[in-house]
Amino acid sequence: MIEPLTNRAPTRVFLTWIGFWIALFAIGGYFGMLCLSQGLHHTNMNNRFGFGIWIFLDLTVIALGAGAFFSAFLLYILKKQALKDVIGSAVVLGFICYSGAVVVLAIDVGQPLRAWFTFWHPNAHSMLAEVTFCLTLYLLVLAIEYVPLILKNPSLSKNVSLLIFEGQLHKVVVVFAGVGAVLSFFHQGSLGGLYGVMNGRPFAFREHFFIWPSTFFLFILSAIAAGPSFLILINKLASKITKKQLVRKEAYDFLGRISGWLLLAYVGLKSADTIVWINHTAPASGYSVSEFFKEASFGTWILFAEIVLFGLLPALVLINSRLRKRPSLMIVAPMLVCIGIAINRYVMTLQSQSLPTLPFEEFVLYTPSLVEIGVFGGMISYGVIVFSLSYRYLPLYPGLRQKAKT
Amino acid sequence: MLPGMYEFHFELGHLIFLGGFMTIGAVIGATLLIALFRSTRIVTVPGGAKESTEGVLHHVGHTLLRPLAGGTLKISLDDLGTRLLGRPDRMRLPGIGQRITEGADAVKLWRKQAAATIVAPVSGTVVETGGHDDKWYLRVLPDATPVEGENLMGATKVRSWLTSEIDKLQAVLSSEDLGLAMADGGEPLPDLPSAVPDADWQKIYSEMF
Repeated sequence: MIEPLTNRAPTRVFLTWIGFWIALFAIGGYFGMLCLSQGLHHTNMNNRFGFGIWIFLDLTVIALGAGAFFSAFLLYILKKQALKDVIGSAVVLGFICYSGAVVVLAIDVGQPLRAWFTFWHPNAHSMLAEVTFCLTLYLLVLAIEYVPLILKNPSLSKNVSLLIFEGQLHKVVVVFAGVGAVLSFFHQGSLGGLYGVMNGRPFAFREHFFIWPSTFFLFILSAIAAGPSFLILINKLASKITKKQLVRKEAYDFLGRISGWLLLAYVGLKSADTIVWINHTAPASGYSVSEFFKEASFGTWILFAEIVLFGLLPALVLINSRLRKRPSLMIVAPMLVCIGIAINRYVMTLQSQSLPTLPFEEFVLYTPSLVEIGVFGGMISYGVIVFSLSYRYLPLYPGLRQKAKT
Repeated sequence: MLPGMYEFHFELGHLIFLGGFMTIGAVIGATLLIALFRSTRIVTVPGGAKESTEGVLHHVGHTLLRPLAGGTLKISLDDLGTRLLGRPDRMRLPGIGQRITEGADAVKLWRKQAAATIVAPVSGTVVETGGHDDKWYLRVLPDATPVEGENLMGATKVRSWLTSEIDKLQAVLSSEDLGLAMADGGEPLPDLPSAVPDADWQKIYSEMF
């Protein structure tokens, strides 16, 4: 029998909390099975929209989950000890984001019995081959990094073999941190590259450096900027819900600072990329950028929001040590960062398909079906369930254990 | 994927792309297998771990026992022990899975040709080993909990014991032909062997540990 840790919520409270999310997950699971068994006609995807909100969700959670690889890289390779408090939650969040993305992708792609084709018969010239390999291998790395946490449960650690295995995994975690950093780096990049190489979609197509479009680098930078912010946000939210200080202020401060500077660098490069796109890339493909933003639903406001409101503004807050000391701003700024990344992924996924590319095409706004929203909700609830179970049964926060002792 | 399949071409790009992923896959697999292999070299422990012991305990052999979640204990040198050794030149630790017995030799640390033998503060099975940089040496699953013994102290008793230990150190150092090595009421330097290189450190270690 697996026992919860000693200073966790009573069983009744926990079951009430988790019950709601399990119900939502069940609905999502049912809709997912519908798509797998009957096909994608349950969604609003069609020949115009090959990517729907699931791909937007995948790209967003994978960007937000970058906190896992980036924190592991900073802690185990660059020895930034301030991150010890958050590494457990970072690994769990990374695992949730990547495994959730894989499941949703499996529903989206369909034909799960043929999933091995993509590994055995890869198209090495496709960005999707890189996405597939990186995604799968990095999920494996995250699962391996998650195992030592699971084995730290008091009930499991009574087994000396498991305990020794946990110790051994801990010893080699630096290898996984290094491999994970390489994989996630290229995975984030290839997701961005996916859009940047679409020369039939002038809204998404970008200039190339060697074989990589600029979006390859922008996706990497935005992900490693948003990952730490997402970690701050989720850990603060968990602290609020559990009414416990789970992470020391120094860790939040470090994460906030690093997120701010990286975001500032991203905003700078994104602005430069946008200027080149407006003045060179789009005109070269026969389009004026103003045509991309003439519909109200995707007006220039969205570009302003992405770069200034949800980019520059939170970056300026997070790089300022005085502002980082204000608890409310340390929630608002990371929230703005995460929303900004979500907008970027939404725009790249859906605006690029909404815009017509042929003279006889109309602008079409994508609206997801109930099934798509249900699966979307199911993925979110899956994340809440896994994180809640991990918090209840595993020592995610070393700082919390010390606090309980004193 | 592999030579002979229609997607595979002997081109530099292909080889780098697929070879890179295959190498990463091999590294992941090999690392996991190494961890599994090392884990199989275990001995069984009677009793197993019990619930966590509260608080840090000091052992008279200048070691600290720090309880972790899951009932294991991390063993490190205490502050005075760390100052006496500084950064060890080399060390010998028991292997993972090996049993250690309270009061028996467990760890050997060398500094400037002198060897300090650290006794085990608790009986149990070694599940992980660290080093000076980790600030701990052994992680042990104790045979029995709560961990207790005549040679273990809680925070309340430590102060008076530590005072007597510093007196002992002062006496040992004063017996050497070193002149004044430690001021009364002073605090030992962080790396005593470097500060007092001419002392008979073998004798000091034998007295103190």
